[in-house]
Amino acid sequence: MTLTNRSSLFAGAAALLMPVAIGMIFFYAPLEKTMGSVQKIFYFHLPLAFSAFLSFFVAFVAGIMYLRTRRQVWDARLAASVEIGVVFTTLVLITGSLWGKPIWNTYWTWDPRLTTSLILWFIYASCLILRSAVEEEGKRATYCAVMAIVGFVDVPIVFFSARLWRSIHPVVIRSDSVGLESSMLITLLVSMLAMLAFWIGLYKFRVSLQLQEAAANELLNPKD
Amino acid sequence: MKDTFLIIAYMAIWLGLSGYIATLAHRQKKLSLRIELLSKRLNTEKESS
Repeated sequence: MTLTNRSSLFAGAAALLMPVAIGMIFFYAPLEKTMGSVQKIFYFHLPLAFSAFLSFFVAFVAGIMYLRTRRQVWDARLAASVEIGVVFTTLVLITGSLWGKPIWNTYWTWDPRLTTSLILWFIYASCLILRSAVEEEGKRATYCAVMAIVGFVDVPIVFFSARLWRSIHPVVIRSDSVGLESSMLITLLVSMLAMLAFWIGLYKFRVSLQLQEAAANELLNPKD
Repeated sequence: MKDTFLIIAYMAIWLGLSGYIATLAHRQKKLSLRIELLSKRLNTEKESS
């Protein structure tokens, strides 16, 4: 099975699971008592955040593997995961702000969770800028690998920020329990699964595109 | 009021994700054109040699 075929397989799974997740969010999951309908943002806000973390974890592993092997495929995996991670983190920040306005009465506050998330976005967005700024292939891949490895330090900081410091951001998943009613938890799990299938499909497609672009570039502008 | 924020958030999610997919599809199209150009160039080189 080729990379594009596998990408279609996961995209198909996501196309099936996404409507199920949306249906469950609006017709199965109950309304939250204090927040009301706006709480339903949560069912995509959290899966987007976890998928973004997954992206940066893949970038971290790909960065290490690239520095060890110097194989182009790891650079392609790194580029794909960083790009997807930045897109997902952008959506996390936007949905979080839109959720925050009616609940906290502000779009943005310099809360530890929000601030560390914004820093995470800046780190990986600058990695993308670096990719487009450095022309030499080897140097570009090395710089980005180092940045993806170092930048990953912020991921656990974001995750634990609401637990370690005083934060107004809610903590849903605790070490001993999940602060959700069972129907809410089932809906969240379906949304997570749908987002994961979407993420895998997108990642595989993006990696194959990156590899094809690199191959075409090499053929059009062959090195001596 | 709260419903408005919910609608805007879901619109942002779907516009964001579909926008990103559209960008990737555009890149794929550009790549196909590049490959076509490349195969034409190779054919011309073959014929001339």
